[in-house]
Amino acid sequence: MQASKRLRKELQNLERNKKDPYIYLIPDSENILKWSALLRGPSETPYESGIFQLSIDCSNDYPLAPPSIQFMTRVFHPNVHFRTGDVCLDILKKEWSPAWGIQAACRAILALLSDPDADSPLNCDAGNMIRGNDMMAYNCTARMYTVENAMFLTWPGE
Amino acid sequence: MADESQSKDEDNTSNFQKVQQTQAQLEAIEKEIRENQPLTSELKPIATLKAVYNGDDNAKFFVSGVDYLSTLYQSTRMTRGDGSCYYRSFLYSLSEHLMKNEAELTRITKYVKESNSAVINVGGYDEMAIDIFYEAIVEFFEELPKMTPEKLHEELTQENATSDYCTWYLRVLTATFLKSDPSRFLPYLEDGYMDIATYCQTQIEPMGKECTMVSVLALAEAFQVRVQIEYLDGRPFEDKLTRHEFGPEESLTKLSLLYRPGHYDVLYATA
Repeated sequence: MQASKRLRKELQNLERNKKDPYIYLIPDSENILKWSALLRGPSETPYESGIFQLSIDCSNDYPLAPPSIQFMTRVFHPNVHFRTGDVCLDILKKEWSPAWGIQAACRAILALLSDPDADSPLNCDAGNMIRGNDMMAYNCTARMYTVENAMFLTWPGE
Repeated sequence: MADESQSKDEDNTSNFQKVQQTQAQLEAIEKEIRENQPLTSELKPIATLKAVYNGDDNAKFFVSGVDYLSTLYQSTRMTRGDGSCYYRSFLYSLSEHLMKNEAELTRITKYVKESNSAVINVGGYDEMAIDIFYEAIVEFFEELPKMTPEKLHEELTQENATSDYCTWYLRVLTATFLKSDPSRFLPYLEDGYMDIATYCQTQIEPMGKECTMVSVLALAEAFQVRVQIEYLDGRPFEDKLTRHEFGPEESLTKLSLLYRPGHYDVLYATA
């Protein structure tokens, strides 16, 4: 099956290359189609020093179809659904191509944390704060949720 | 003041709902297309194309265009309208031509087999990203001489299989060709694109993105095949439809495709 074959390659590449200090990826021991990721909140954002867990599900038509990625850690961000953790990101939908991979998709999510897109909000409250130019409200609220939800996991090996 | 912010809130909410509704409608259309259109159809008589326009008074030049086409072509093979129709039409037509011409089959199989180093070095693609697609298309071309037309049709109509895998590799070859000569292709890009790499990433690599003129040109030249496209676009015409041709004129492989607004299918010349 092509999906497992490709994912095993991605895993080999991850094991061979230098560890990414901001992304930790591990496949389910029973099912290579399911992965878990830890993301380190980017510095100089309200997510700084938080550790966020994602769940990643690939279908049998991966990598032709994008993986489905959700935040398991609650996060306040215009492009992340506050309740379900769904992420609104073009490369996980219409702009996906097999040239991406799981690690690249996680990198795009990290970039989204640093650079929210208030014009396609899944979390309207966060979107409205940014569109209304109330960055103080957005930064404080996002920071509060980071402190309340994202300070409990430890980075593997630290 | 309070009223103003409230109405702005409502605007935001309704915009958000509109975006969600549009998204849901698009997904419903895509689902209907998947369920009702095979990736590639059986051969159909040219006149089938008329059925869509029958009784539509505004479609006069579509109807007379089909009459014109039937003087040159006997049948058509329709591809699914999922954004990859050009690549699927190209692949199907190319495969049928190669099954009948051993020298061209050898030439093109060699080109595809040797393409991976350019794809990695010029195209900038990661080996991990391309290898299952590269393997699929090489295997497909190697199997071609042994295939019957029925087997070919089965291969190229199966979901999430050869057609999709080869289609993505054709996208990668198109992108690699554009990247091999950026100064030539840059002026062809639609407005707003400043560099070839971004254009490839957003307009060529994603599976649902339709093939544009510059990609049609690039793919024909990459394979060194002649592609002639008949434009059945409903515009007034006198005795012939507009036809555009791409790729080297002297190529032994000549593919005929049909363009209707936003869509491509395969054409079969009258013997």
